[in-house]
Amino acid sequence: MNMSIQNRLGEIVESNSNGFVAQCYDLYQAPVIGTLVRVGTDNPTFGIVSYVSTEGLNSDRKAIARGKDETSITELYANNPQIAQLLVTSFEVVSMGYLKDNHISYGLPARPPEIHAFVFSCSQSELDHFFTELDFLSLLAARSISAVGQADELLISTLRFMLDLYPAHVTFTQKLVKELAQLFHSDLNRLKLIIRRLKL
Amino acid sequence: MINQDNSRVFLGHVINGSLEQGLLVKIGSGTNIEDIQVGTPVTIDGQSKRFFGYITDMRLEWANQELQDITTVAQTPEVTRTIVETSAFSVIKVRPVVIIAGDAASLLDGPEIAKTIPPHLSMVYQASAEDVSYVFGNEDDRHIWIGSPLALESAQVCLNLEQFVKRSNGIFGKSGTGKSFLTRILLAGIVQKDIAVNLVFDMHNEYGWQGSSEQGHPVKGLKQLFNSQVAVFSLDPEFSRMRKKAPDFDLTIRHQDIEPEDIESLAGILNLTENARQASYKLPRELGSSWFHEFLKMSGEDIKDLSARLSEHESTMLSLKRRLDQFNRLAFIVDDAQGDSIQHIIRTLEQGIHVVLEFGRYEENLAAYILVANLLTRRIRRQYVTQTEQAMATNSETPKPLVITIEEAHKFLTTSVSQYTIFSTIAREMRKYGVTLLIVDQRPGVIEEEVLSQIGTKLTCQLDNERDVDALLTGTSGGRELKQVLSRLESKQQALIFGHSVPVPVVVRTREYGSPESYKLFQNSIVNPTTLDLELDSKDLFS
Amino acid sequence: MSLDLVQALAKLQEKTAHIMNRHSEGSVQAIKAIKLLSSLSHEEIMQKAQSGKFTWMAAEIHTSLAGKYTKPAKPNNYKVMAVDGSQIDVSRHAPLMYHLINIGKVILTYGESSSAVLESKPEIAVSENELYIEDQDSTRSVPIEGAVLGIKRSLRELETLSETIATDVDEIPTLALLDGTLIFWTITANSLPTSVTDYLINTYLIPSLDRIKEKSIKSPTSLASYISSPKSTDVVNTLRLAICPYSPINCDRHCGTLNAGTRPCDSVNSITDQDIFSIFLGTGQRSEIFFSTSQVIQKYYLGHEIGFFYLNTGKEIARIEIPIWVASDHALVDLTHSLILDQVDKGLGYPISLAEAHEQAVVTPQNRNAFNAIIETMLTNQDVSIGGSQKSSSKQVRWI
Repeated sequence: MNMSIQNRLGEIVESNSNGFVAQCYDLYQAPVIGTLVRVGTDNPTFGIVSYVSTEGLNSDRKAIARGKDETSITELYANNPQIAQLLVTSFEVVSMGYLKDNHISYGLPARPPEIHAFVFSCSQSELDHFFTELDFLSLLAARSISAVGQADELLISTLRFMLDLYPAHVTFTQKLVKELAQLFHSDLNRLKLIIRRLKL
Repeated sequence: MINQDNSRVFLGHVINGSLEQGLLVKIGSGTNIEDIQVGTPVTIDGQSKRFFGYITDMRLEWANQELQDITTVAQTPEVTRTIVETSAFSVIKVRPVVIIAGDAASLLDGPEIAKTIPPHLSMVYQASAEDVSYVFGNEDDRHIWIGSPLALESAQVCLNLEQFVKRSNGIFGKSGTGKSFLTRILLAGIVQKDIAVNLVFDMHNEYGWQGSSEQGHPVKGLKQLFNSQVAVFSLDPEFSRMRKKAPDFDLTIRHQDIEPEDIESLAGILNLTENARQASYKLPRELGSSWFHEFLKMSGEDIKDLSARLSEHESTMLSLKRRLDQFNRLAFIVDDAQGDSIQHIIRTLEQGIHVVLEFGRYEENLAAYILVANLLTRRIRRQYVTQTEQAMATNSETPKPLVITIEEAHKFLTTSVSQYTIFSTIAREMRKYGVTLLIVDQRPGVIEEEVLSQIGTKLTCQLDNERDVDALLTGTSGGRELKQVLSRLESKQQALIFGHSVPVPVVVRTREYGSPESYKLFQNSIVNPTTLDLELDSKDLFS
Repeated sequence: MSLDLVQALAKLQEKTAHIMNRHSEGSVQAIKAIKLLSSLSHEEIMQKAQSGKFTWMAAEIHTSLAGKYTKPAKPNNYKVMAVDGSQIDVSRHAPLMYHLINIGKVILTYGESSSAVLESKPEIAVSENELYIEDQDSTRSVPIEGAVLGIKRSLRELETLSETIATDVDEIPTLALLDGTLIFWTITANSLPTSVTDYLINTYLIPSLDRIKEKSIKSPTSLASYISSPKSTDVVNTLRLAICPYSPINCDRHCGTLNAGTRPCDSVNSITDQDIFSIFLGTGQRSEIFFSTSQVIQKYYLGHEIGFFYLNTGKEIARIEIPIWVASDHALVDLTHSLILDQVDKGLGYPISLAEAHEQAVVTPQNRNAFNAIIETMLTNQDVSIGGSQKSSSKQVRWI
């Protein structure tokens, strides 16, 4: 399979300056919250998955409970094969930066990505490149706190994603911790929550 | 933080402070606070001026105190430290004392007292060797190298001896801290640079001939270093012979040399009553110039008669005689038949020969020391006063300045008795007659306040008595900060120097004294080296 | 002043009282009818029917009247295909003359390799020959709109289903489902020219049925249509024949002057087949298979005659119509019976495949408006002068 198809996570169905919504090709196959993803190839935009949802394809159709007599969810899906076709998984991404002249600029892209643009998972080298600097954390922190019903989950998930990328990298961890400490010097409860949640 | 200038060690930036309180300097992240010591000389690059001062205090700060309890949250100490480091920082307090340059590049004519402070974020460096030599001078025919400043072994702190001897000075420190070494260095410097003539009341026999270090190694005295330029007088020839170092001269005191003032200076040590002191003044009139001798010869009956004649209580006179009887046992107090050795000392000094007076086995006899020191000093001063006044009247040359070194000064310059001693007078009149004191003492706190306040330059080793420290720093600019420095001196070979002849207070590690190399440094520029003796001494040392 | 709810409610109560009355009368009649069903022999009734003259469309009976069959076992692996359609009729006010048929198709595979295909396919008719059916016997053309469009749509549903079945290579038991009736009586009820009727029958209906029948010979394949809450009275009408006191039956002669309700056979006049079978059938049970005597079948359905049975789904009585080649195969009847019950179960009262096919097919008013807007934009951009009345334009187009 072509690499670019293999790494494809979905396709943009809504787009704006702050980010976009992408629809997955397969039900429940969304990247986890906090994942860094890429859109486009030439001047790609980078963003972080902030929200994943699965819902009826048709907004006026709701799912109903069907499994009363089923022994397992697998059986339920097997006995109702249409369900998988009627539901759709999509994920929201908050834009965090873009690549221009082989240089990562952190912040919002000048133009939002196009509808139907493909969303890819990032290669290790792209991840390394993007996470070289941590200047996007302030933007992420602002988004994280404004996300409805999420107490910094976006930020915490992203940090976890980053730490998992470099599990034994003490310098990276310290750099990250230092950045967080500076970012939240006036909001220590938030800092403490994050440190505790990340079990740092 | 990057060292902007490789030759200087960057410490940090000025973030706060005042002229009165000193400057607060946030130390750079590359600098370990533990590497910095209080008392270290620093330079501050202001906008248009360069300041020189020293570190007076240091402390740890938090930009955000609340971060402290992050320690209860993080699971690893590394994470805790990383977080803490974003808020925690170290601050040193610096006292800018002088301005050494109009701008960072060009030097002024000499250090000026700092009447302003550098602006925020001025960079602070450890003083370089060049900075130190600019402020304290280089060793030359007037400057003596004393030691090196803290954290800068390569630099030399020098003392302007010409300035130094214009006032009375003090060397302080509890016993065993290196006072004697410091004294030797200064005395040797005075001899070497030919700045003044020394009279050393060498109570413990350590300056003329060989003394010893704390570890018991022998160290050379002035006589060994400068030979013919130094004359050793001894009150105890027998002791000197036992040491196989014959004095140049024996010193004897004739009965007639003793004056009532000498008795008065002993009032404290002899515990004389006011009446007894007063009575002693009546004795020469009644008994003639040998009054001391005559008085001590008197029987009980004679005293009774004398008391009647002088209208004194017999008990007063008996008490006085009893107290003075101890001097009858002193071998160096002799009959008139002997020559006038006091005059001999004066003549020696007049020739520019330095005099060390060894007390031999009288070192434990404080009364004898006080008596002799007072008696001699009074005579000598009288001579200097006369000569100086004549010189001024005839507009001719004044006698060479005289530095009198005395030890255990706190025993006779205390508040209660100092007014009766000649030393108190000398300290007060300063350089007027060209006679100044070099007080070597371990208890400055007991010395009369007024005397202490007249001391120009103070060189002080470790002191552990609060009263001594306070006494020394009273009235000193930046005294509170200096107390921080002084109270943290190491117990050996470190001294804080401040006062008249240094532009900036400075802590030094005193220069080495005791090795052949160290001796050579003093002998290099000797005006008339006595080659033969030097060779002999060297042989002694290396054999 | 719009609807006066208070007055309307009062009227409603009045009417429902009457209905309740009829219901209780109905259930009495239904019980009577069930007694009849059990007591009559079908040979007797058929004989009576064949000799009589009557206008009722009575069910043809091949077996007993009173048979009932419990739910048979369903296969482990099977497939259900369903098609439904919807349409946008031609509008005289639209800028463009067109009609649209949207066919929704669902293929649900159950068992070991369960899967689903859900899709819809719109067909737009714009050109003359798409919008009209030419009458071979005259110069007249029949516009495809209104009822005719409905006929075309139903036939296209059947055709799509048949094509889907024909192209399916699987040989597992398959049920092909349509919503509504297999009896295209509307083809004959709209006074269409003969050539047009023939065209519809021969182009769509018969080839489609043939196609499915062909597949059914190769692998177990059933075709059925599902009619929810049927109002039909085929069985009731047969009972009328049974209880007619005259022999031979001749309605016009004996009862032509009587008012409805007073005739001898009116003792079952207020019930439908549904009323009878809702009492007669237990949950999951189906009735005997009856055959429709509709004219269109007799005239055109040769070899594909339509039978039907009633099924108690547990939620309602449904009428299931099947072609004769299904009805005459016990295994296919059992397959149809079991799979429809399963589908209703999964669809919570209505076959899930049909429900999803409907979802695929449905054209909402929003869809229709959006589609019309696109057409306008397209035409405007192409600088084609737009037809349609100005009144309609000002009402429907919101110029920006």
